[in-house]
Amino acid sequence: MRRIIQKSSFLLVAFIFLSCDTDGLYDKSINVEKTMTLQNGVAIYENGMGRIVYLAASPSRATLEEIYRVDENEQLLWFETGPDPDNPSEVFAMSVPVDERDADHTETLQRIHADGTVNSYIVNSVFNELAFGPYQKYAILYHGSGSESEGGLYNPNEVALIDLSSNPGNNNPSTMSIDLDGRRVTGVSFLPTLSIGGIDRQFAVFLSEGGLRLIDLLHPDSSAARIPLTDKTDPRNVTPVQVFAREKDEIRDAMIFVRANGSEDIYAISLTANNEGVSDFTAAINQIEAGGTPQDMALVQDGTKLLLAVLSSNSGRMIVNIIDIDTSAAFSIEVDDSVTTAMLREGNESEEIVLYGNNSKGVHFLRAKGLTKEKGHNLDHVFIPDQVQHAIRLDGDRLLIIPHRNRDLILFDLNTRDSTRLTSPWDADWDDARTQIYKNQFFCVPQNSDRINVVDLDTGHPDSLLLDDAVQHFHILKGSGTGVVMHDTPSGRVTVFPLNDPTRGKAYVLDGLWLGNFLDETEVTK
Amino acid sequence: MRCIVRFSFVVTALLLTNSVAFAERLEVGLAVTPTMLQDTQYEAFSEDDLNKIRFGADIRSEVINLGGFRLIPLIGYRIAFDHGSPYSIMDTDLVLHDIIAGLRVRKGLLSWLALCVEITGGVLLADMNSSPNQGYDMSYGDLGARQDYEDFQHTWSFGGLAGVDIQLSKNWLRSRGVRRFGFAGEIAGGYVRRGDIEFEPSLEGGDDSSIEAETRPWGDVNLSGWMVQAAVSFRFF
Repeated sequence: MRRIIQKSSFLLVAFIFLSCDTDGLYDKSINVEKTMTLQNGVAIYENGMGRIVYLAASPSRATLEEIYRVDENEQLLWFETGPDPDNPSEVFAMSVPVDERDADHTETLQRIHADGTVNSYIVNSVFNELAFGPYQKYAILYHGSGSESEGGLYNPNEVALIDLSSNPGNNNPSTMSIDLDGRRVTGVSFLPTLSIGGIDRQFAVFLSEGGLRLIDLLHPDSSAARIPLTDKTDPRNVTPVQVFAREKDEIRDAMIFVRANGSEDIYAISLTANNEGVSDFTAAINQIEAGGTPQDMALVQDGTKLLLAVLSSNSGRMIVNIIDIDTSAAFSIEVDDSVTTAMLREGNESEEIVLYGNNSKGVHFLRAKGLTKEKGHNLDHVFIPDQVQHAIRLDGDRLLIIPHRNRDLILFDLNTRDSTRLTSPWDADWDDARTQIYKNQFFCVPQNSDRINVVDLDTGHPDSLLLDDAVQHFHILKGSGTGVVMHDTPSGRVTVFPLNDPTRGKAYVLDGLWLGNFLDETEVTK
Repeated sequence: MRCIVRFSFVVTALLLTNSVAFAERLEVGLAVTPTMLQDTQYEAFSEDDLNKIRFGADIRSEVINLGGFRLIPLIGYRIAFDHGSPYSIMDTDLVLHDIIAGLRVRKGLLSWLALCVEITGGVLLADMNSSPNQGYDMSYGDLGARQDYEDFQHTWSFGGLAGVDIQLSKNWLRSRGVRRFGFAGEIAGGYVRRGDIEFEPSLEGGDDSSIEAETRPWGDVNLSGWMVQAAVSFRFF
C-alpha cells in the first residue's frame, strides 16, 4: 500500500514539474516594417520575427517564401531595391551587429535575391546611402549627409565600390576615400559610358560643396579628376544638385553639365584625352550664366545647334535662358507662370521642353525645332482650370495634375495636350495618393481608401476595384502584370489582381501571410 | 465521422446489453483528466502553459473475472477547451473531443482498494476557430473581408492509465441498506499518444460577395502528453 502511494505521489510530482511554463514560442509580435516592390513580387521585412519574405504574385497564384532570416546578433538598418531602379529584382540591406563588441559580425551589405540566395559584401563601415550605376554593373555605398558615427571616428568620404557582376571577395567591394579638399561627399551620380580619346569611361560623380570629383569605374586606380566649382576665396556655398552628360560627337568633346545650388552659373565641363597618358583625361570647366537662379536645365538640339535651356528665377520672374554651347550666344524667354521643372521629351515634331510646377497656372511647351529662330514665339501654353496645386510626372507622356479643388484630379496627356478631369464624390487627399501607370492604365489609391481607382488612359474611362479591406500598401508588379494590395491585418493579408483586368471576379485574397506553417516553428526567434 | 458514431453506438449497445445480462457490472465514470502536452507548438492554443484539462465520462461494464482480475471494457468521451493568442494578433479557440474505447483491468487488493490499468484507443476531433483579436481594428471587417479561421480535423489516439481505485465497501453499503449501487474514486496517471494534426483553416465570415479568399496552412501540432486522471465511478450491481 505504501509503495502504491509513493508511486502515485511520484507521478503527481513529475506531472507538476513537467507542467512548468513554456518558452514563449509565440510571444513575439508581428511587425511589418518595410514593403518593397520587385519585378515579380513584393519583399516584406517583418521585424518582429526578424525575416524578409518574398511574396511572388501572378494573376492566378501567390506564394510566400522566407528569403532572409535576420541573425539574432545583427540588425538591418535600411533597405534599397535594385540594381535597376526602374525594374528592381533584389533587396539590398545594411546589416550591422547588434552589439558592437561582437567580433563575429561586421558591417555588411546583404544582397538578397528573390530566390533566397544572399551575397554578403563586407564593408566595415555603417554607410547610409546606396547609389546604383547604369547597366546594373556597379553600386556605391557612401555616407550621406544624415550619416552618424557611433562610438568612434569615421571617414565621411569613404565609399565602397561594389562590382555587382562579381561575387563578394577581397577586392569586392573595394573601399576608397574620395579627396574633395576636405569637404564631404553629399551625393553620388553616375554618367552613361563616355568615350574620351577612344577609351570608354564609366564615371561616378562624387558631389560635394564647392566641387565634384569624377572617378572612372573602369579604371578606378588611374583616372580621377577633381573639379572645383568655386575657388578657395569664394565664400559661397555652392552645392551641385543636377548632373548630366553628353557624349562626344564629331564637333564637340564629351561634356558634363552641372547645376548647383548657391550659384547662378551652369558649369559645362569638357572632357578631353590627356596626351601625357593614355588612361588619363583632362577636364576643362566653362561657366555659363543661367540668367538668374537656376531651377532646372535641359540640353536640346535645334538643327546642328546644341542649346542649353536653363529654367531660372530672376526677381520673381521665371525665364528660360537659352545658351548656344558652341558660341555662348544666349537669349531669354519669359514664362509668365511659376514653373519649376523643365522636362525634356520627344514631342510630336521634335524635342520639346515641358515647363510646369506646383502652384502654376498651367503647362507650357517649348519646341526645340526652330528655337533659335523663334526665340520664344513658339512657347505654347495650356492653362488648367482651378490652376495647378501639385503636378507629378507619371511617365514621359503624362502628368498627373492636382488642381486647387480637392475633389478633382487631372490626367494631362503631353502628346495631345488634352486633360482628362476626374472627380470624386468627396474631398480626397490626392497629394498623398499612391499613383502608378501600367501600360494604358492609371492606378490611383488615396490614403485610407478601400478601392483601387483605375483610369483607361485611351478612353479616359474611370473604374474602380472595391476591396474587402482598407489599402495599406499598393504594389504594381510589372514583370508579372499583377497588382498587389497589402492590408493592415494582424495576420497579413493581400489582395491580388491582374492589372489588365482589375475586377473583383479576377481578384483573390491570400490571408495569413504570417501564419503560414507557424506551428512548425521550433525555437524562440529574436 | 459517421462510422465512428456508428461504432460508438454499437459498443454502447453491447455494453448496456451486457450490463442488463450481468446487472452487477455496469459502471458510469465521470473524470477530470489534466494532460500535459509535450508539443510546444500547442502554445498557440494555450494562454498559460501546455496543460489542458479534459472533462468526460466513461461507460464500463465488467465482462469477466479471471482470478480476481476483472476485465472491464469501456467507451468514453472527453472534451477539452482551450484558448490561445499566438503572437498577440489573434484569438484561437480549440475544442478537443476524444472518443475512445478500451479495456480496464482491475485487481482488488482490499475490500475498498483496487489497482487498475486501462488502455484505450480512439479518435481525437479538433475543432478550431480563430479570429483577429482586439488589437485589430474590427471596423475593417465591415468592408466584407473574410477574417475568421475555421478548421475541423481528426486523428487517432491511444492511451494508457494506471492508478488506484478506492471504493466504498460493499459490506459497508449493505449494512446501510444499499444493495445495488456502489461508489468509487480513482486517481491514475498515464500517457496518451496521438497523431499529428495539420491545421489548414478556411477563411470564413464576410458574405457571398466577398472576394475569394484562401489562407496558408498553419502546420502541424501533436497533442500527445502525460496525463493524470481523477474520476468518480457509480457502479450498479
